[in-house]
Amino acid sequence: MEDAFFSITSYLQNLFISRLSTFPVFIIIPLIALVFSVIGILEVYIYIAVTRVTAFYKRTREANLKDRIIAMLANVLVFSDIDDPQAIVAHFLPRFSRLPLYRGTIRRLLVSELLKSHSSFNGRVAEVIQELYLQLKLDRKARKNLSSRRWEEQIEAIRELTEMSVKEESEKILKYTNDRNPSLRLEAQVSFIRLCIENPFRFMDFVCEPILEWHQIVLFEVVTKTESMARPRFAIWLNSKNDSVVSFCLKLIEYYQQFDAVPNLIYLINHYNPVIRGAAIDILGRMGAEVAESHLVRAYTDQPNEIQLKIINALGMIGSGKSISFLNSQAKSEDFAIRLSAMRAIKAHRDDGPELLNKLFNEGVSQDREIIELVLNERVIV
Amino acid sequence: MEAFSFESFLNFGIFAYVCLFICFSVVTIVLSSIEISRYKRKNRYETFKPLLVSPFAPSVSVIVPVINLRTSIVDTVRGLLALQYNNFDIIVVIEGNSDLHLIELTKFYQLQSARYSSLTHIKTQKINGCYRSANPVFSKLTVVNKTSGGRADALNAGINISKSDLVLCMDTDCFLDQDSLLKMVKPFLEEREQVISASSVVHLANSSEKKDGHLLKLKFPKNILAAFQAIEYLKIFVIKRMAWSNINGIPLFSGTVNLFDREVLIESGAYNSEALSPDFELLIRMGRYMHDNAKRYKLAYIAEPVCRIGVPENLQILSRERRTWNGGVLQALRLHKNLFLNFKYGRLGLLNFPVCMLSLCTPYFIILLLILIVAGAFLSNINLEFAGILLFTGYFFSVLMSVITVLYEESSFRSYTSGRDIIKMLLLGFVEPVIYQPMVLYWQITSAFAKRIK
Repeated sequence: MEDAFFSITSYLQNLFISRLSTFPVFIIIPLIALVFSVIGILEVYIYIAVTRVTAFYKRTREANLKDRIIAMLANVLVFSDIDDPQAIVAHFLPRFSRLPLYRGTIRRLLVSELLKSHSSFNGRVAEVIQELYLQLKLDRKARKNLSSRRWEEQIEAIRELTEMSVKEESEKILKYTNDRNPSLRLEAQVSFIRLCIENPFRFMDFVCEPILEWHQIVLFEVVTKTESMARPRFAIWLNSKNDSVVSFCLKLIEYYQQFDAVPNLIYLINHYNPVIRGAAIDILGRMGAEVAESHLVRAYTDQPNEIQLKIINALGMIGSGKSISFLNSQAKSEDFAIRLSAMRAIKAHRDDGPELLNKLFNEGVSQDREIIELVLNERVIV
Repeated sequence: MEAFSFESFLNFGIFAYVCLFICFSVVTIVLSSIEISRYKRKNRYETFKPLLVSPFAPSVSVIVPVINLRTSIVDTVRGLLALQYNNFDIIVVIEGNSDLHLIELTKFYQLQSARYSSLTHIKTQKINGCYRSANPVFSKLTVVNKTSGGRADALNAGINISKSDLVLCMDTDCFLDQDSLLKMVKPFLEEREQVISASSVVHLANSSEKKDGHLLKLKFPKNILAAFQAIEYLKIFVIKRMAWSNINGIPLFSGTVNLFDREVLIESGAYNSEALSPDFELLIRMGRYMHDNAKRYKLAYIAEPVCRIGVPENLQILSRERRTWNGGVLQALRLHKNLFLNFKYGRLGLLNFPVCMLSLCTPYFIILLLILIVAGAFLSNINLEFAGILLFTGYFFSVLMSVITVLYEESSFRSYTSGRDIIKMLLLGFVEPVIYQPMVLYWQITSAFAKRIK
């Protein structure tokens, strides 16, 4: 065994030291690759072992520190309603100041716990936490990181300042609402909406980067869940050159049922972008905008198939009865989808829709009768 | 000038292969690491919660074809009903011969026959019946019973019934994470280009703890064949597919779970029931459709596991599966051969297609070299030391690839938390190139010949 080991090592020594220069290139290169591979394998083994061990110790150490910080914070949070927040902070500040906050880990853990507590409480408790955060000058790093070159640091800073309601930085955050990086842009927009409650949608005046569908979902959630925020007339942005701004405003107009936006919505029936056109038509339908009916019927012929279907659906939702003859004519269309939608729209006219469908049933060919039967049957999967 | 001998020809052949293999692997690793870190950085600050409650979340149909199901269909559906998403439905398509599954589902979910209306976009085998639950708790569930036509045909029937914006086509023995839909839908909302498909990393469910269609704890497979496949899946999904995602390409292994834009899916003709590897063929066709219509598109890839799948632990089933895969890829490439180096199809024709073809040719090249080495050894016509050095380089590089894959898994998803599992994976990396890879190679080659003879 020992002999075999020594013969292998002497062979390898011979191969890589004495004979290497005598080999042709097509052997030298693979030999180098071989050495790199073996070193690489060893390195990965060592790396995995070291990271596992260090991660374990880091976790244990941070868990201990975290427990201490939580215990310190628990004392601050337990106070009576008659106590003055300033007095509470003044009482506990010396104890917190003794923490070695120049050490990154401790600062990070303390800030993280303060943020967690701030988001869990409101009222005076939240005020105390915010005051403690400011008094300990923990906001300094976040303010500095706002101008960092790394977008991750900027996002963390924005998030921290927003949670702690540091409103003075809102103007600085505003400029990131049009940043090219989508994650930073979204974070800045969310932050601005939460910080600038008097005019939270100011960024929509100038933003030229798209508010992506995902961003719209996040922003919608923030807007509709944030209390005490000024909600403007969103119709003022329906003329925006940024289609995503228009699309976002359409969602908010519908949510807040801003009926004064109906004339602007009617104007959008002729928008160049079919997505906006379709969304506006859908909203007109869902808002039951009777005044839009004639505009929808007039626009119908020039539209592509999918928009025509939307118009028919919208007319069904409005269901005033004024466009029933138009729907009747569409129920005889050669296109199956149009026929089906028109019959559904007729059915949606509660007053005389089913009656008209029965009439069509008697007049119609067998194929149409089948569709009518399906439309009238509530249990059918359509 | 020195004569070009058999020995130098062989040495240069092996050298060329080793160089090509190393270069290709290094590029793949670099691209995948860029993609993983990009995904991690991007999603570090975002949660999926808004999508869970949003009225604007796109509707999703989860289509489950029931063919050769090894687990209980009731449990599978139960697992799917627990998915976290506010706008989805489940369409279970039972192939004709599986009456037992229909009876099981009818009993448990109180199914009633229902009429259905759909614009038949895709031609499929006859639908014999459509069922919905009488219990409103299971209102998301639709069961379709149809004449047998294979997995692709079943998925097409489900696509016909679906009215959703997106359709999730999955294998029956998949375990989806509860937040899988949230993660997979997100790319459709956040990309500037139109996302036509999204897929994800797949891990193995063998030896893991399961209950009522839910995966309770992920464990590294105990069966040696499944363990080799676990390493292979990591290489495929963590390294190769991630690299393809970086360049928006179509990977060779495209099945298991895919979320599609329904409109594009239907426009491009949906699944080909004749295809042996329908998912790969479909993705090529969808890419082709987008190019033909001058539309920019993106194939999204979720760089974290959202799906666990049971793989065969039996050599016979595994070999059959691999032969079908390989045959399917060959068939798809042959079907779309006019994409090869076609400028009209951009990256798809100039890079994706040739690399896929090259990957398929690799086994032939290896076999040719091995035959030449053996022949040369018999004829005493080669320098065995040189051949040995080249083969060892290939072997150690292959081990390095496996070990790096484990490192990626360890530093990104950490699905296997136990130290013992990590050690097992690292050690398997040494055995895999000499036991499992030759087996895969053999199946790849025999599948190609079997196809040709047919």
